[in-house]
Amino acid sequence: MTPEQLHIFEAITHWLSVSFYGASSGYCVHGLVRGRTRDFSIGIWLAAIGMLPHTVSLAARWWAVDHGPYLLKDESFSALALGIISMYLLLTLRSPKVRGLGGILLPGVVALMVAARIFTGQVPMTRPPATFEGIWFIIHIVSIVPAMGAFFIAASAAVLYLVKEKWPHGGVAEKVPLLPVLDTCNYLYAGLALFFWGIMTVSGAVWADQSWGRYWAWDPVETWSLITWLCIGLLLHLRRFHGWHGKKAAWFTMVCFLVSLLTLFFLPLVTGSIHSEYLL
Amino acid sequence: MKSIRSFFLSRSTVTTLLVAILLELLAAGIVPQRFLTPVDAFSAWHQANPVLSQVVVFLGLDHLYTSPLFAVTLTIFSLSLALSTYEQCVGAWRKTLAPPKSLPRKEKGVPIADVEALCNRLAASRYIRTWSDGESSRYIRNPWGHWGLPLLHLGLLILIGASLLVFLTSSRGLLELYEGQIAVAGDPMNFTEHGLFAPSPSLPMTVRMTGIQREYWDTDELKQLALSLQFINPDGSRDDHRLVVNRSIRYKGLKIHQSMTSGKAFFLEFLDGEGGVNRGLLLIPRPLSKDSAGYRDFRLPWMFSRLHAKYYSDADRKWIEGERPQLVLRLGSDEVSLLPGENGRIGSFDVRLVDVKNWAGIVFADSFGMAGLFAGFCLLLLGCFLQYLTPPREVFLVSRTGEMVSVYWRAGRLTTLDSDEFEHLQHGLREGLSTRTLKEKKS
Ligand code: HEM
Repeated sequence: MTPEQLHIFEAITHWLSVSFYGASSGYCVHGLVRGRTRDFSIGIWLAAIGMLPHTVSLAARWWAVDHGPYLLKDESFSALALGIISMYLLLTLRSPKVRGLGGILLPGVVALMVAARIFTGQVPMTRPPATFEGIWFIIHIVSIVPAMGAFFIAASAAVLYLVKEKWPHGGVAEKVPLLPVLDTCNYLYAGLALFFWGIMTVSGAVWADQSWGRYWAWDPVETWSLITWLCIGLLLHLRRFHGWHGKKAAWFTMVCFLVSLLTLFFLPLVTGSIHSEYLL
Repeated sequence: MKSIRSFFLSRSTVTTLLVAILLELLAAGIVPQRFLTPVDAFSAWHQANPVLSQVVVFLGLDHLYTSPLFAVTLTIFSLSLALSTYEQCVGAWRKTLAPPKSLPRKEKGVPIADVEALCNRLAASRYIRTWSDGESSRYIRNPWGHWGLPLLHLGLLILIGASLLVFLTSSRGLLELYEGQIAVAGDPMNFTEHGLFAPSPSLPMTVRMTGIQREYWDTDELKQLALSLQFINPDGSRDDHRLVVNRSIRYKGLKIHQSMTSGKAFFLEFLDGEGGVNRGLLLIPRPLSKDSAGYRDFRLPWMFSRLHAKYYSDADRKWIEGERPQLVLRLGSDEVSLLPGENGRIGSFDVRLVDVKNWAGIVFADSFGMAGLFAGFCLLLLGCFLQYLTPPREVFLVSRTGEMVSVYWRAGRLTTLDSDEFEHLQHGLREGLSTRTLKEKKS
């Protein structure tokens, strides 16, 4: 295949997956509005099928540019969307009670996929620096996907919790999962965000040590990554020690989520460090 | 003693410590740090924020990680963490291996008839019997999940201890060499840093930079930088090594890494008005593209002002690794541009670009405690994994005199998500009950 053909193939598979996710969102939102469990099941199946062309599209990009989906905004967003969908599907396998979260997560995924396409071609094709190599680098970069996936799910559960808490009767809120289920989901996924964010930070430190003989340099993204991790730790402590369940936990989860977005998407763009060499 | 212990273990102390550490890190994330910020930008920030600057200097927030404030917070944090970790280990042991302090309350149980069937069902659902006194027993699914938090906190404790050890005992030195250059053991390095208990690093062995190979992508971005090094031992024996990024060399207890910097070394001759010849060697970092320049400023001992230098890899701007690099020097308002072999004039000097070679940086690192650091990391992550991905669920089978055996189920913090599991188990129990009823009817 020529690079042009590969590019077209990538775009087709990308939009194919967006169509599946779009249909899946439609069913899940309908499921929320109408309170029909069957809609969620269809939505979940459609999302699972959509993952196939999505993975193929990411693989095609990888093939074309000879590096994983982490350097440019479009490929990073697309990989992130895949992470969120996989985390959501795993969650529904574990506890079908939380399928209602799809009503808020899947439209978010569609938005992310469309945003990814908007960024395509906005920067000239870039190649990874020589340091972007080795198993620790791969772990570092790959763990961002489940970490952010977990954060998205925890934050979605928090948003739904706040909505349902505010308008408990009638409308959509009546159909979303029960408050205790949303709260537990928020708790579990905050814990998983702590785990995957921890892997990301640790593997980054090992990678830095192997590359430059220094595991931690307090560069702004490193410092803020530690702050994000401690914020989640604080959230979990507040839950356990001071009864910050439900509403308070939901608000604090939103704060942690915003801090994670700041660390991952904003700081690399405004500070000069090795972390500025991705999300171009 | 007891009150000190309970102070360190109290929930509000732990929360306060976490908040304190977070706030200090936040401050360090916002206030420019001395060791990270260029001198001009650092003083500009302090001039622009005179009041804040006083607070920052008083608390040492501009060098947080070496400030007494951070040291004190971290010490109290570690003490609290150590005591708590011990308590958590005791708690986990009690929950998994020791007999329970008390049995669950009677009214919460579900009576069952076919104990054997239930035990089979429990075994099939991966519940493990961790305690029994002949009459009552405790089954746990994922008993190791109880060890998640103790391991997480132990890992954190080891991590803090090991980081401190590394911080205090490690040293690093950066040596910049051009192709063919030899640096002799004991020579000063271009940049060094060392912990409180580590000696100031000097070059530990004689090194020769035998070659520098740069490989580029089709987009002109650097693909790989490889250095050929020769270590010359005191007995004259030589060891050849190839150093590439991410693949460090271990040599005589040291770790040798490639530094991120490399570029061109410009050999210059400066002729002053009185006929004196001064030589200058300028090592300038490489530009990032064929259209941009690499910059560095120099203070040459025989020149009064700072010499600003930049170079383009190719005078024609065609190649990223051109044969004819263009050097531009600026001294005050005077500027001169030189190609290899060319002469020019700058200030009161006639200057000649004699030769150009490649140069690259090598980092010599000596650290102690890294193994502890990574052991801490691993324990921490293992703990986190056990806590959130293998949550324990408990089933108690309690037999009280004159009553049927009762079953109790508990799933800790994930009860709402995992309650289906108990319904599934209960389903079996109901079957057990109906079997019993049938049996009773038959008899
Ligand atoms: C002074 C330092 C700390 C102390 C004394 C401390 C103490 C504790 C204690 C006593 C528990 C409850 C344990 C149990 O119920 O068995 C706990 C839970 C926890 N701690 Fe810490 N902790 C500290 C710092 C941290 C840090 C820095 C983190 C990571 C960011 C962290 C993460 C957690 C997590 C994830 C939980 C479990 C929360 C849950 O799932 O309910 N802790 N901590």
